[in-house]
Amino acid sequence: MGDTLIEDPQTFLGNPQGGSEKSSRSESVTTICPRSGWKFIDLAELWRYRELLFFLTWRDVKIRYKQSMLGVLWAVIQPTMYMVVFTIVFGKMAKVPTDGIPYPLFSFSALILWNFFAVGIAHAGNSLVMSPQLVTKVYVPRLTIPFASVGSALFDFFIAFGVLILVMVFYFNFSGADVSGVAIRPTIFMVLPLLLLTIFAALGVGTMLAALNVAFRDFKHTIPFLVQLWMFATPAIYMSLDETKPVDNVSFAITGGAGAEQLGIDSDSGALELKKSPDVSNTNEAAATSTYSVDVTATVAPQSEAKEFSIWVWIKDLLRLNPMNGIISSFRAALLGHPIPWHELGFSAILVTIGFVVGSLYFYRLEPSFADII
Amino acid sequence: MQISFDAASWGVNSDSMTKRIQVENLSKCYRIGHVGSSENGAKYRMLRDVLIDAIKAPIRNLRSGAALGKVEEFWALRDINFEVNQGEALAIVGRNGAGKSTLLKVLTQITTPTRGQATLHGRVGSLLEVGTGFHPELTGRENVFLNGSILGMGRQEIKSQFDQIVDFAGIQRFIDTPVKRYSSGMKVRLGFAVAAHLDLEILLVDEVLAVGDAEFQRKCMGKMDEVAHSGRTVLFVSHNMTAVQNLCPRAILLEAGQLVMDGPSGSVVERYLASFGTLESSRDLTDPTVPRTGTGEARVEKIELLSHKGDDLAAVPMGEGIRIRVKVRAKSDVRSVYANFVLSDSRGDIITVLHGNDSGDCRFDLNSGEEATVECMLPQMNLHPGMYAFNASLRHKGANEPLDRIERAVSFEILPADVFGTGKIPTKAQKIFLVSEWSVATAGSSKNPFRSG
Repeated sequence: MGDTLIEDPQTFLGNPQGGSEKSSRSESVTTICPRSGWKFIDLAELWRYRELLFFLTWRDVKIRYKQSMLGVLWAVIQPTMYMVVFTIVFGKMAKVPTDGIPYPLFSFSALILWNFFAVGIAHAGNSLVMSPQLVTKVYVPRLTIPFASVGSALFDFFIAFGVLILVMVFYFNFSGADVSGVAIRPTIFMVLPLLLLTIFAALGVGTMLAALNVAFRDFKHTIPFLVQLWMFATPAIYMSLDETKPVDNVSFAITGGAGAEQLGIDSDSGALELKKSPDVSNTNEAAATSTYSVDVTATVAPQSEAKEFSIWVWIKDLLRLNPMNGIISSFRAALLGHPIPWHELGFSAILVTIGFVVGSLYFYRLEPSFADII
Repeated sequence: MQISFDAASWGVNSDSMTKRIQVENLSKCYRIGHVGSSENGAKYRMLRDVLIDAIKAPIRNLRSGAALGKVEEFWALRDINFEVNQGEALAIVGRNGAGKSTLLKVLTQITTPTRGQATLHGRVGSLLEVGTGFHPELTGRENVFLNGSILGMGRQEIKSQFDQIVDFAGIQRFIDTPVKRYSSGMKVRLGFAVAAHLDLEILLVDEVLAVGDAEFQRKCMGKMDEVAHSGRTVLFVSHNMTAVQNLCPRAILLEAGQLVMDGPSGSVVERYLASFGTLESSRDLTDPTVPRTGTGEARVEKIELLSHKGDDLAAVPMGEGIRIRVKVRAKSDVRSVYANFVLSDSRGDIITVLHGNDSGDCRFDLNSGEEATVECMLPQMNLHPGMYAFNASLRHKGANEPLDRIERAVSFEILPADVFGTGKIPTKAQKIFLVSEWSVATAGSSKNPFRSG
């Protein structure tokens, strides 16, 4: 590492330091010295090693499906099986609200993006410890290693995306299911920037995990667990909590609404399916924040239930810290022609940016010691 | 220790030649934490340890990932200074743990120095391991591209060299077979072939030529020679003193992380080999300064060279017989142990291996704390005059890593003697002699056994 100055041959031509040789070969100079402090991604170096990045990605894809009978089909099978299971559990048994979208379509459209993110961070997190020779036996920019893992997950995503298109075509044309809640709108092009945002999210989290995994092997055990938990914190298989009125609170809301007049909004959300639907429509966005004050003043409601409700609001705010929250619901909304929750998306974009910067800073911070501690 | 380097004494005109590598005060310090005190356990820390530390100490812990608390410093390299000119081949010699590999790792940017600076002018390639990044599931062809790109070649570059690479490795027939079905020799050949076709100004090579069969090794040495003489700058780490002397006119000697000698490879090698101890017929190996490798479950505590009659002996006349006797002590229960003695000459070339299992069929079991004495009798030392040494190792069946291994555990001299009874003493530059019987037939003589009729 050191503060490497392997200049691009062209740009270094004519530099007096690059050896006095008149040789036709351009000179490059590597200076090796101690490195300390923080440093951000060396984009020039990454660019020079772009072919390596490609080969590592290609290797990951190749070996994932070597000597397996179904090969690349696995990229499709995984999200499809999830979709089937979740359709049975959440769609049929728990009857999760989906805003008029058939549940299989509802979950599959989000699951493919989620699956990309989950596979990406899991592979990236283990990438360095899985190939220690690339760290200890040769110098390559180490960042390429977790990046390549995310790249190979991206390959799977594209295959699954193709399947999603087939599923959509099937729903629109051949199934008898009610697809009135689904439409193709111009917002569908938002899918690309959303994918880009997810790539950055996966790179940020992946590099962070990869570096932590080298230093502390505990993360080997943590990563699968983390991915699992994260999935349940992400509105992939249920509706975003911001889109829905707190459906689970219907029971609380009814008791609250019956007790006090001030709980206007609160009782509204409870009444959403039952009585006072007319005045809800315009207060959608403000719902979350105003619940705070209401909740505190709601002395009328039985105490235990009020407490439970305040915990619920707290969880809602906590879940908003999940950068995938806004991305996943926006992705689905863009694909299926629902209004994109810009607010949440903007917040997610900020979180992703922070995560990416922090992840790569930490990676570079630990990088000099990788070879010594891996 | 002072560094005895003086560029001028080399007849190198530093103005007319291009410096390819300049190393100034390069030092590397490892911090050895006392978290896991076992040799391997200290390599990485559990999060638990960090959390405990984090309570005690501020957050800089997580930030640096370095061990805090009780830390011992170990200087693997200390103020190394040298320069290498264009087209020069420099060997780095030293015992295990002297810092050779660390020096290469710093120069290849695998690890950062703690102090000092090194400047490398030109494209740098390194070969610290043959076939880095080879994946067993991928075919030979795919691995060539992968390995090539890891070593820093572009796709076009690999494409244009592909046929030569495959040719050099000699595996045309298997190029589309997964590497996992290759023999280890084939893997090594392919790996070296890729590296040998790197087009670079500076090549850093660690002990990689010690693998593969004899013929391929010769091929590799030929290629290395070609590289070294093609105007490229080569840094070469090896334990093979013959290779060092053949490839590199100049060498540096590292001892305990310090550069102690820089000069013509002949004299550096001499000093290096001399550092293994003087002529002693018996040597106490319990001294902690004795450099050794192995698991340590059992150790050689003493090695002796004895004559037939049992006298101590450091100088043996040609053709005489000797006995090697070692005292072994077990630290834990070990089964099926045998001893090996490797005979090598003053250049470090291996002459033969006395294999306690294969040629001696002499295995033994030891319980913890028990000791044994192993003796190996050599009725006739068919060696030419010169300095020789045995390295001693203890192994047990089926395990790759030895229990204990000491390079040049005991050295001895072979004295000239009239072994053939001809009154003539054989000349130098030979290693062994064979007992031979001669006859000659000239025309007209009936004594010639080859003439029929």
